[in-house]
Amino acid sequence: MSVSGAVLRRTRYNDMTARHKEWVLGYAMLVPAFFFIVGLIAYPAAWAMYLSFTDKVIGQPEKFVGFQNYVWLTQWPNFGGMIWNTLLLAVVGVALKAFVGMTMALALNEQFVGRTVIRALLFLPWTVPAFVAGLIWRWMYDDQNGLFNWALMGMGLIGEPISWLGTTTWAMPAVMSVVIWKGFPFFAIAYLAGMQAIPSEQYEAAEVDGASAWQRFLYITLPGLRHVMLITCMLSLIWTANTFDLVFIMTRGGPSNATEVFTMLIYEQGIRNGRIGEASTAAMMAMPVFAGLIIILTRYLQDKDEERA
Amino acid sequence: MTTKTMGTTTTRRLMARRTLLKTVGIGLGAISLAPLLSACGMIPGMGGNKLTVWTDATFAPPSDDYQTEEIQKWAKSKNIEVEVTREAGDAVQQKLQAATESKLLPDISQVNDGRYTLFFASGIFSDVSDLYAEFGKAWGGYYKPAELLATKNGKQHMLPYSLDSNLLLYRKDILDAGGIKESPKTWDELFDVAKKLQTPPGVYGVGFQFNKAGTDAEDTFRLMMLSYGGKFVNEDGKMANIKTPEMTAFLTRLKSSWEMGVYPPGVTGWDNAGNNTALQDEKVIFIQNPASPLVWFRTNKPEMLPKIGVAAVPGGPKGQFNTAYIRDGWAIMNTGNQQRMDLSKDLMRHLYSKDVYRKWMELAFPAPAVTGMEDLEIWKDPKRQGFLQAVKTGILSGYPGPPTPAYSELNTRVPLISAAARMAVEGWSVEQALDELAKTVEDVYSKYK
Repeated sequence: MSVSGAVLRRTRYNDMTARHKEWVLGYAMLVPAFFFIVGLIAYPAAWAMYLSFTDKVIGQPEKFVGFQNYVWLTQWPNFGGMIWNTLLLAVVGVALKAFVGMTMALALNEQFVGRTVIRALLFLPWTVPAFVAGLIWRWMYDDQNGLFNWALMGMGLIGEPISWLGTTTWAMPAVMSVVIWKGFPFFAIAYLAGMQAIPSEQYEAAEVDGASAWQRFLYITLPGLRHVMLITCMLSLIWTANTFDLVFIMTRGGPSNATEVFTMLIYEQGIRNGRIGEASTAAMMAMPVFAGLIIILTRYLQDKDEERA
Repeated sequence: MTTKTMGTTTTRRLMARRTLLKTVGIGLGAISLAPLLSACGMIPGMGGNKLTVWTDATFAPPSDDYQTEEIQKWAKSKNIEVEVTREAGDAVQQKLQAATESKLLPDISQVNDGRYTLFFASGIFSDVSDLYAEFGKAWGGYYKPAELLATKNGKQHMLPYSLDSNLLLYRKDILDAGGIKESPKTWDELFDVAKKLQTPPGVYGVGFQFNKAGTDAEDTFRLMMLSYGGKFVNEDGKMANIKTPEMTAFLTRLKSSWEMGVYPPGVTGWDNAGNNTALQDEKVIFIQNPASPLVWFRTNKPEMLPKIGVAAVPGGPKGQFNTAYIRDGWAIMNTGNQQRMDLSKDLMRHLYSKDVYRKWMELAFPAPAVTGMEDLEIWKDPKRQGFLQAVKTGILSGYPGPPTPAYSELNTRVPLISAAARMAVEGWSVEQALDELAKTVEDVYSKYK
């Protein structure tokens, strides 16, 4: 019975037209991607959304609580501060990463001895694991035995140690400096690649017309890089807004709540307190913003594809 | 002819596609079955004959190394493999969270009393009452705090290994030079002496963390709060009235101590290593801590040991308190695999055996959970003896109520450090800090009604 069934199915398949067979194969080839998207992206996202409406605690069954967690989150003592810190880190951090990256790319686009080595070294901060980077920088900023205080006091520039990670004045700039240090190579490499795609004839013509270096940058380089700039900034905005490891290692959101970002709250509630429902809510609150950015980015990239076509 | 050729070609391609699809199918199947296979103990990591032991890294690495060596020695004698992971900070707790949900539990996990209370309701710990009784009998019984903290509903689901307390560690040489003969008995005295004897920026008076990354100070501030008559809970374990004159007095004293300038400016960014480092680097006069700096001095700066004093934590208008808690305890996890649970019990017998337990105790910094080790050489040192005495009489988590999951969660939120940081870093008034403190306690306890 089963043998004749298999024969029947094979006969049916053989009777299909080539187009149908391609159609079947096409869908068959989509199966792994479908499982991947459903299993690793859609299911966890949907589950997290569901959990945000429950009182789920680690190791115990959950109960539906409606919007209770969302109300709870808006009443969190540092809710406004957390949004502000996340925005500050993301917006200022990305702007500075873009600026430093652009400066580096412009320098490395010029001909000089050792350019290849310096280009390779440029990748270094990008390749250092965030955990290691956080620990190294934490030590450098340490008020008791840190490199910066040691150097500044040695040079007689300060009389007593500065608490870099312990004051509201310095903590966020200190964290941001590491975020920038770790992230600018991404911008530099992307911009460098973009610069090399700009036809050199444009620069030559501008020079003949008497354009200054600044004018060439303003009217040729910048417009030529606008697509790369948009994509890098949007991607980096999403990544930086989700920064956790560096903040966790360097300040844990302190001093007081000066560097507390959304991801810290997710960690505190979800991991330290086991309150998965509330942690999921914090994660979900930021999702519309990121989803909006991703939609804009996707549409932009699709428009670019259509332009090319 | 052409059609036939094409047909032949198509058939060959179909075979290749089928092979590809089969491969993909088998691959996906294997991926989806992996957790199941793992749970059944068919692949190594969390199963098979390999035992998994999750432990904490402490401030006394030689004791950690010795323990790991002994576990491996035992494994060799049993001809099995044991994977011991040793991690600092909250890492074990974080892994337990994930393990509890995924049901991929280690065989043994180290637990302190907070972790034990927090996870108890999830049923991940197996009943070890038999081992508890066996070890208790062999070692002449447990100290009362160990017994109270390990026993829930008349049974034990953890094996207490060490008890600890946080005492006042101070620079005796500086106090002597300043003509102060005795360690401060009250908080007022402590801050006054610190102010008088400190010589900033070289040496500051007091090294308590004012930062959420450092949890040591939560214990310090809790003892200070109790000594002023403040409390989070009543004797029945239910939330107490937070906005009381006693709590206001405590926060006022805390805020004024900050305004005296006795803390190094960096305390607002310290983690748990901050106070240890400050004393070890001779940059503060007073810290409150377990005995770990003494162990560090013994190894790294023995000439400093005579200059360090140990005393009870200062008291306030409503009394004086010391704390006691289980620092190291063992839990055999409810994996459902009887063979591995039996092996785990055997490993516990090895760790509680006379030579191994005593040797570990000599290298570690806490006090034992059992009474039969008071003859050890280390307790002849009056400083270490102070810790041994403190754990016998210290108050427990949740005081004046019993240890509860609500209190454990509240403790992980470090509400008193948060209040202190608000006042010190952001300049909040006592009223503002008290208001937020009350909301935090209410937020946690409202979930456990």
